[in-house]
Formats: sequence, structure tokens, C-alpha cells
Amino acid sequence: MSDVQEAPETTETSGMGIGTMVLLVLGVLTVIEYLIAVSKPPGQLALIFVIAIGKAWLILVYFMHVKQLWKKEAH
Amino acid sequence: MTAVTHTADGVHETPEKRLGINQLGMWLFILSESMLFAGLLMVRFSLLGTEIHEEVSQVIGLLITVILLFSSYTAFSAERAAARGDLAGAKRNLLLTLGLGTVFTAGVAFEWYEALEAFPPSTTFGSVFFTMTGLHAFHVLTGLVMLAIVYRRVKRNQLSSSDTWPMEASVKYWHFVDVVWVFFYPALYLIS
Repeated sequence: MSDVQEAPETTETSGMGIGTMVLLVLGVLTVIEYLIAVSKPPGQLALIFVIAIGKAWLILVYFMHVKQLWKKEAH
Repeated sequence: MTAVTHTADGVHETPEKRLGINQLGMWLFILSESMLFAGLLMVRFSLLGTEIHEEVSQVIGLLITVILLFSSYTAFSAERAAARGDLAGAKRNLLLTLGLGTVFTAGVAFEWYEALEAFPPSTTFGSVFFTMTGLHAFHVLTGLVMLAIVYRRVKRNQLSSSDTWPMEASVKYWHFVDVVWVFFYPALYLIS
């Protein structure tokens, strides 16, 4: 009985852990973007947009749960 | 046992199916909105190339970006809390999201106040900057209204852990507004 009740709690905690991790990665990527813009290396435009795509992907997958769309289709 | 509801045309519909239809509709709405913002992004590069105005405030740009990213995390936390029936947690995180969203909007308003003198809307950069940030800010305001409505429902105990669609929809919309800014921020502040 207690095992059944504890399982969702563990999933929930790991979900929040992933959320915190995603937030940290988003923050680090934003700082990297800013540093690239300041240092102006060659190929700055491509670098910054690759990072932006990475950030958008993180939000779409972990915060917006885009994968739920095709997971539902599988059932 | 799964509850079945009947639609107007007599079709049997389970809550899971309804939720799936709602989610698909929301994603289609987000996709159609993405076209609008992608178009604006293309107009920006078409008119300005890789040029940005040197007087655009890097400090405000970075600050409001971090604030909006953090608000996505609090919105995510509110959705999680609501799903596990923790209404106090959902309320707290929704309030935080509303506060951060308001600070973001105030930041944009301050940036506009500064920008009106540095690059007015009559200039090419000004027209692009005000159109992009203006349309985005309008979506932020819409998101704030949606989140405020959900907050009111949570506060009045009108949201149960089995019916979190209003929360899910408004939080998804909020994340979408964040994704748009992920592309607008470098396009308006960083690339040169």
C-alpha cells in the first residue's frame, strides 16, 4: 500500500528536478549567447541561432510536453 | 470506471478523449501563432540584415530574458503542483509567474520609453523593434490575463486535480510566449 502511494511522489520529485535542471541549462545558454554577442566571433549569427533552437527545444520538450502528442497516438 | 459524456451529435466521448482533442487544438493554435512570429522574424532580417541599433539596452534585454525564462519554470511548477492536488503550491507558483510576467512587461515598457528617443518608430530599426516587442508584449499580457483567471479559479477551489485543462492550456500558452522570446531576444539585442 505504502509503495503504491510513494511512487507518484518520487515521479513528481524527479519531475521538479528536471524542471530545475532545464531552468539552469536555459540560464547558462542565455549567458553563453550574451558572451558570444559581446565577443563577436566569426559565425556569430549561426552560433546564436543554434543555441536559441536548443533553448526552444528544451522548453518544448520538458515544459510544454510536446511528446505527449505522439505518445497518445501510439495508444 | 471511465465517465462517458455525450456530445450534441450523440457521439460517446471519454474525458481522456476530450483532453486529447483539447491538447491537439491548443498545439494547432500555437502552430498558427508561430507562423505570425516567424513572419516577423523574417521581416526583421529582410529589412535590417544583421544590423542592430547600438543604443538598444543590453542590460534590460538580458534581465527581462532571464525573468521570462524563470517565469516559465514557476508556471511549470504550478502545473505540476495542480496535477498532484497541491493547490497551495499551484497558487503560490501562479502568483510568482504573474509577478514575473508583470516585471517583464514593465521592463519592456521601460525599454520602449528609452527607445522612443534613441530609435523612434519612424526609423527602420524602430518600426521593426516596436512591432516585434509590441506584438510579443501583447501576447504576454494575454497570457497574464489567462493565468490570472486560472489563479482565481484555484483560489476559489474551482479547479480539481482531475480537471487541470485550464491550468495546462494557460501554462502551455505562457511557455509558447517564452519560446517566441527565445528567438526575438537574439534577433533584436544580440546579433550584429
